[in-house]
Amino acid sequence: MKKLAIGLYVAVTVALLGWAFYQAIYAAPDEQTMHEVQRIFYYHVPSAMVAFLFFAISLAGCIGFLAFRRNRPDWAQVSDAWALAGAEVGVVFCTVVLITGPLWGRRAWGIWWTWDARLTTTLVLWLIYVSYLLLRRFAAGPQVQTLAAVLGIFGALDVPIVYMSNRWWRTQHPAPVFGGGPDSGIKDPAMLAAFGWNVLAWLAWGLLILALRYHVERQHQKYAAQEALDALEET
Amino acid sequence: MLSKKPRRLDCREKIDFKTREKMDQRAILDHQFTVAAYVITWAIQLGYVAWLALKWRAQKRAAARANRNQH
Repeated sequence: MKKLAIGLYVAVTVALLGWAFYQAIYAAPDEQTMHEVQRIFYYHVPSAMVAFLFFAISLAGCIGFLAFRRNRPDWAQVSDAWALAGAEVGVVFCTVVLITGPLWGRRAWGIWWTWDARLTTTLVLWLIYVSYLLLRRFAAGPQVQTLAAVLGIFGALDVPIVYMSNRWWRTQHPAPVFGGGPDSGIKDPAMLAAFGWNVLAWLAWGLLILALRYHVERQHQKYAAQEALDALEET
Repeated sequence: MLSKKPRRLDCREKIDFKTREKMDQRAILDHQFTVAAYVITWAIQLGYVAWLALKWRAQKRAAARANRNQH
Protein backbone atom coordinates (compact mmCIF):
# COMPACT_ATOMS: atom_id res chain seq x y z
CA MET A 1 0.00 0.00 0.00
CA LYS A 2 2.81 2.38 0.97
CA LYS A 3 4.74 1.49 -2.20
CA LEU A 4 1.63 2.12 -4.32
CA ALA A 5 1.11 5.55 -2.70
CA ILE A 6 4.77 6.47 -3.32
CA GLY A 7 4.56 5.27 -6.94
CA LEU A 8 1.39 7.29 -7.47
CA TYR A 9 3.00 10.40 -5.99
CA VAL A 10 6.07 9.98 -8.23
CA ALA A 11 3.82 9.55 -11.30
CA VAL A 12 1.76 12.66 -10.44
CA THR A 13 4.96 14.67 -9.83
CA VAL A 14 6.48 13.63 -13.18
CA ALA A 15 3.20 14.46 -14.97
CA LEU A 16 3.08 17.84 -13.20
CA LEU A 17 6.67 18.62 -14.22
CA GLY A 18 5.88 17.75 -17.84
CA TRP A 19 2.72 19.87 -17.83
CA ALA A 20 4.54 22.78 -16.14
CA PHE A 21 7.29 22.58 -18.78
CA TYR A 22 4.66 22.70 -21.55
CA GLN A 23 3.01 25.71 -19.89
CA ALA A 24 6.33 27.57 -19.53
CA ILE A 25 7.65 26.91 -23.04
CA TYR A 26 4.55 26.63 -25.27
CA ALA A 27 1.44 27.98 -23.52
CA ALA A 28 2.76 31.19 -21.95
CA PRO A 29 3.19 34.09 -24.40
CA ASP A 30 6.46 35.94 -24.99
CA GLU A 31 6.98 38.86 -22.63
CA GLN A 32 6.90 42.23 -24.47
CA THR A 33 10.34 43.62 -23.58
CA MET A 34 12.42 40.59 -22.61
CA HIS A 35 10.90 38.15 -25.13
CA GLU A 36 11.93 34.50 -24.84
CA VAL A 37 14.58 34.89 -22.13
CA GLN A 38 11.81 35.85 -19.67
CA ARG A 39 10.81 32.16 -19.65
CA ILE A 40 13.75 31.53 -17.29
CA PHE A 41 11.51 33.20 -14.68
CA TYR A 42 9.26 30.08 -14.62
CA TYR A 43 12.14 28.00 -13.24
CA HIS A 44 14.03 30.72 -11.32
CA VAL A 45 11.26 32.04 -9.03
CA PRO A 46 9.64 28.68 -8.07
CA SER A 47 13.11 27.33 -7.24
CA ALA A 48 13.69 30.30 -4.92
CA MET A 49 10.30 29.78 -3.26
CA VAL A 50 10.96 26.07 -2.68
CA ALA A 51 14.49 26.81 -1.38
CA PHE A 52 13.06 29.26 1.19
CA LEU A 53 10.48 26.68 2.31
CA PHE A 54 13.15 24.02 2.80
CA PHE A 55 15.42 26.38 4.72
CA ALA A 56 12.41 27.00 7.00
CA ILE A 57 12.04 23.22 7.48
CA SER A 58 15.76 23.06 8.28
CA LEU A 59 15.31 25.87 10.83
CA ALA A 60 12.48 23.94 12.53
CA GLY A 61 14.70 20.84 12.59
CA CYS A 62 17.63 22.78 14.10
CA ILE A 63 15.42 24.28 16.83
CA GLY A 64 13.88 20.85 17.48
CA PHE A 65 17.31 19.25 17.82
CA LEU A 66 18.49 21.87 20.32
CA ALA A 67 15.24 21.58 22.29
CA PHE A 68 15.12 17.77 22.49
CA ARG A 69 18.80 16.81 22.58
CA ARG A 70 18.95 16.31 26.36
CA ASN A 71 15.59 14.79 27.30
CA ARG A 72 14.28 13.12 24.10
CA PRO A 73 17.21 11.77 22.03
CA ASP A 74 14.93 9.98 19.52
CA TRP A 75 13.03 13.17 18.71
CA ALA A 76 16.33 15.04 18.53
CA GLN A 77 17.62 12.59 15.90
CA VAL A 78 14.41 12.94 13.86
CA SER A 79 14.71 16.76 14.07
CA ASP A 80 18.35 16.58 13.05
CA ALA A 81 17.48 14.44 10.01
CA TRP A 82 14.87 17.02 8.93
CA ALA A 83 17.39 19.83 9.50
CA LEU A 84 19.99 18.14 7.29
CA ALA A 85 17.49 17.14 4.59
CA GLY A 86 15.99 20.65 4.46
CA ALA A 87 19.41 22.31 4.26
CA GLU A 88 20.74 19.98 1.56
CA VAL A 89 17.71 20.06 -0.74
CA GLY A 90 17.42 23.81 -0.09
CA VAL A 91 21.03 24.25 -1.29
CA VAL A 92 20.19 22.31 -4.48
CA PHE A 93 17.30 24.68 -5.25
CA CYS A 94 19.33 27.74 -4.22
CA THR A 95 22.09 26.62 -6.64
CA VAL A 96 19.48 26.55 -9.43
CA VAL A 97 18.47 30.11 -8.46
CA LEU A 98 22.08 31.33 -8.48
CA ILE A 99 22.75 29.84 -11.93
CA THR A 100 19.49 30.68 -13.75
CA GLY A 101 19.53 34.25 -12.37
CA PRO A 102 22.85 35.27 -13.98
CA LEU A 103 21.82 33.54 -17.25
CA TRP A 104 18.75 35.80 -17.35
CA GLY A 105 20.79 38.82 -16.16
CA ARG A 106 23.35 38.44 -18.95
CA ARG A 107 20.60 38.89 -21.57
CA ALA A 108 18.43 41.39 -19.69
CA TRP A 109 21.11 43.61 -18.11
CA GLY A 110 24.17 42.72 -20.21
CA ILE A 111 26.11 41.50 -17.13
CA TRP A 112 26.40 38.15 -15.39
CA TRP A 113 26.57 39.48 -11.85
CA THR A 114 26.33 42.65 -9.82
CA TRP A 115 26.83 43.11 -6.08
CA ASP A 116 23.34 44.38 -5.38
CA ALA A 117 21.45 43.53 -2.18
CA ARG A 118 19.24 40.70 -3.49
CA LEU A 119 22.03 38.88 -5.31
CA THR A 120 24.59 39.32 -2.53
CA THR A 121 22.26 38.19 0.28
CA THR A 122 21.24 35.13 -1.78
CA LEU A 123 24.91 34.24 -2.33
CA VAL A 124 25.58 34.67 1.42
CA LEU A 125 22.59 32.40 2.18
CA TRP A 126 23.97 29.74 -0.16
CA LEU A 127 27.47 30.03 1.39
CA ILE A 128 26.10 29.67 4.94
CA TYR A 129 24.18 26.51 4.06
CA VAL A 130 27.12 25.07 2.08
CA SER A 131 29.29 25.63 5.19
CA TYR A 132 26.57 23.88 7.25
CA LEU A 133 26.78 20.86 4.93
CA LEU A 134 30.61 20.90 4.98
CA LEU A 135 30.55 21.00 8.78
CA ARG A 136 28.22 18.00 8.82
CA ARG A 137 30.40 16.15 6.32
CA PHE A 138 33.90 16.74 7.65
CA ALA A 139 33.72 17.58 11.36
CA ALA A 140 33.78 14.77 13.93
CA GLY A 141 32.89 14.52 17.59
CA PRO A 142 29.83 14.61 19.82
CA GLN A 143 29.20 18.35 19.38
CA VAL A 144 28.92 18.40 15.56
CA GLN A 145 25.12 18.18 15.48
CA THR A 146 24.79 20.97 18.07
CA LEU A 147 27.23 23.26 16.23
CA ALA A 148 25.48 22.55 12.93
CA ALA A 149 22.07 23.32 14.49
CA VAL A 150 23.33 26.71 15.71
CA LEU A 151 24.80 27.48 12.28
CA GLY A 152 21.53 26.39 10.64
CA ILE A 153 19.57 28.84 12.81
CA PHE A 154 21.91 31.69 11.84
CA GLY A 155 21.62 30.69 8.17
CA ALA A 156 17.84 30.81 8.32
CA LEU A 157 18.02 34.38 9.67
CA ASP A 158 19.28 35.40 6.22
CA VAL A 159 16.09 34.15 4.50
CA PRO A 160 13.85 37.10 5.51
CA ILE A 161 16.71 39.49 4.65
CA VAL A 162 16.91 37.97 1.14
CA TYR A 163 13.12 38.20 0.78
CA MET A 164 12.96 41.84 1.91
CA SER A 165 16.19 43.02 0.24
CA ASN A 166 14.55 44.41 -2.92
CA ARG A 167 11.89 46.10 -0.78
CA TRP A 168 14.31 47.68 1.72
CA TRP A 169 17.04 48.74 -0.71
CA ARG A 170 17.15 50.03 -4.28
CA THR A 171 18.43 47.06 -6.26
CA GLN A 172 19.13 46.16 -9.85
CA HIS A 173 17.12 42.98 -9.31
CA PRO A 174 13.53 43.37 -10.61
CA ALA A 175 10.89 44.54 -8.15
CA PRO A 176 8.91 41.83 -6.33
CA VAL A 177 6.44 40.07 -8.60
CA PHE A 178 4.00 39.49 -5.73
CA GLY A 179 3.36 41.72 -2.73
CA GLY A 180 5.51 44.54 -4.08
CA GLY A 181 2.89 47.28 -4.32
CA PRO A 182 -0.09 48.14 -6.55
CA ASP A 183 1.81 47.53 -9.83
CA SER A 184 3.13 44.11 -8.87
CA GLY A 185 1.62 40.80 -9.98
CA ILE A 186 1.38 38.90 -13.26
CA LYS A 187 -1.31 40.47 -15.43
CA ASP A 188 -1.50 37.90 -18.24
CA PRO A 189 -3.61 34.87 -17.19
CA ALA A 190 -1.56 32.46 -19.35
CA MET A 191 1.68 33.67 -17.72
CA LEU A 192 0.10 33.42 -14.27
CA ALA A 193 -1.05 29.85 -15.02
CA ALA A 194 2.43 28.87 -16.24
CA PHE A 195 3.96 30.34 -13.10
CA GLY A 196 1.42 28.61 -10.81
CA TRP A 197 1.91 25.21 -12.47
CA ASN A 198 5.68 25.51 -12.15
CA VAL A 199 5.44 26.44 -8.45
CA LEU A 200 3.23 23.40 -7.86
CA ALA A 201 5.42 21.04 -9.91
CA TRP A 202 8.72 22.11 -8.31
CA LEU A 203 7.17 21.98 -4.85
CA ALA A 204 5.97 18.41 -5.50
CA TRP A 205 9.41 17.44 -6.83
CA GLY A 206 11.17 19.16 -3.92
CA LEU A 207 9.01 17.37 -1.33
CA LEU A 208 9.77 14.06 -3.05
CA ILE A 209 13.54 14.48 -2.84
CA LEU A 210 13.27 15.97 0.65
CA ALA A 211 11.46 12.82 1.82
CA LEU A 212 14.08 10.64 0.11
CA ARG A 213 16.94 12.57 1.73
CA TYR A 214 15.24 12.33 5.14
CA HIS A 215 14.82 8.57 4.72
CA VAL A 216 18.50 8.12 3.75
CA GLU A 217 19.62 10.16 6.77
CA ARG A 218 17.41 8.20 9.18
CA GLN A 219 18.85 4.95 7.84
CA HIS A 220 22.34 6.35 8.29
CA GLN A 221 21.56 7.33 11.90
CA LYS A 222 20.21 3.85 12.68
CA TYR A 223 23.22 2.18 11.05
CA ALA A 224 25.66 4.44 12.95
CA ALA A 225 23.85 3.74 16.24
CA GLN A 226 24.01 -0.01 15.60
CA GLU A 227 27.73 0.20 14.76
CA ALA A 228 28.40 2.11 17.99
CA LEU A 229 26.45 -0.50 19.96
CA ASP A 230 28.40 -3.35 18.34
CA ALA A 231 31.69 -1.62 19.12
CA LEU A 232 30.66 -1.25 22.78
CA GLU A 233 29.69 -4.91 22.97
CA GLU A 234 33.05 -5.98 21.52
CA THR A 235 34.92 -4.04 24.22
CA MET B 1 16.35 28.94 -69.06
CA LEU B 2 18.14 29.30 -65.77
CA SER B 3 16.14 28.44 -62.73
CA LYS B 4 16.76 30.39 -59.58
CA LYS B 5 18.42 28.23 -56.96
CA PRO B 6 16.87 28.43 -53.51
CA ARG B 7 19.15 30.36 -51.19
CA ARG B 8 20.85 28.16 -48.63
CA LEU B 9 20.54 29.21 -45.02
CA ASP B 10 23.61 30.73 -43.46
CA CYS B 11 24.92 28.47 -40.69
CA ARG B 12 24.23 31.24 -38.17
CA GLU B 13 20.58 31.56 -39.19
CA LYS B 14 17.93 29.57 -37.35
CA ILE B 15 14.23 28.99 -37.80
CA ASP B 16 11.85 29.55 -34.92
CA PHE B 17 10.25 26.15 -34.28
CA LYS B 18 6.89 27.73 -33.42
CA THR B 19 6.44 30.55 -35.97
CA ARG B 20 8.75 29.07 -38.71
CA GLU B 21 10.20 32.55 -39.14
CA LYS B 22 13.89 33.35 -39.40
CA MET B 23 15.32 34.32 -36.02
CA ASP B 24 17.59 37.33 -35.67
CA GLN B 25 20.84 37.22 -33.71
CA ARG B 26 19.23 38.54 -30.52
CA ALA B 27 16.44 35.97 -30.63
CA ILE B 28 18.99 33.17 -31.20
CA LEU B 29 20.97 34.25 -28.14
CA ASP B 30 17.78 34.57 -26.05
CA HIS B 31 16.81 31.07 -27.12
CA GLN B 32 20.24 29.63 -26.29
CA PHE B 33 20.28 31.23 -22.82
CA THR B 34 16.77 29.96 -22.08
CA VAL B 35 17.70 26.43 -23.19
CA ALA B 36 20.89 26.62 -21.08
CA ALA B 37 18.90 27.66 -17.97
CA TYR B 38 16.41 24.80 -18.40
CA VAL B 39 19.09 22.19 -19.15
CA ILE B 40 21.26 23.26 -16.18
CA THR B 41 18.24 23.18 -13.84
CA TRP B 42 17.44 19.61 -14.88
CA ALA B 43 21.10 18.56 -14.75
CA ILE B 44 21.41 19.82 -11.15
CA GLN B 45 18.15 18.22 -10.00
CA LEU B 46 18.70 14.85 -11.69
CA GLY B 47 22.39 14.83 -10.71
CA TYR B 48 21.44 15.32 -7.08
CA VAL B 49 18.82 12.55 -7.20
CA ALA B 50 21.35 10.19 -8.82
CA TRP B 51 23.93 10.99 -6.11
CA LEU B 52 21.28 10.39 -3.43
CA ALA B 53 20.29 7.05 -4.98
CA LEU B 54 23.95 5.91 -5.05
CA LYS B 55 24.39 6.97 -1.41
CA TRP B 56 21.24 5.06 -0.43
CA ARG B 57 22.41 1.93 -2.26
CA ALA B 58 25.89 2.07 -0.68
CA GLN B 59 24.30 2.47 2.75
CA LYS B 60 22.01 -0.53 2.21
CA ARG B 61 24.95 -2.66 1.10
CA ALA B 62 27.03 -1.62 4.11
CA ALA B 63 24.17 -2.48 6.47
CA ALA B 64 23.67 -5.88 4.80
CA ARG B 65 27.43 -6.61 5.05
CA ALA B 66 27.44 -5.68 8.74
CA ASN B 67 24.47 -8.00 9.38
CA ARG B 68 26.22 -10.87 7.58
CA ASN B 69 29.41 -10.37 9.63
CA GLN B 70 27.39 -10.38 12.85
CA HIS B 71 25.90 -13.79 12.06
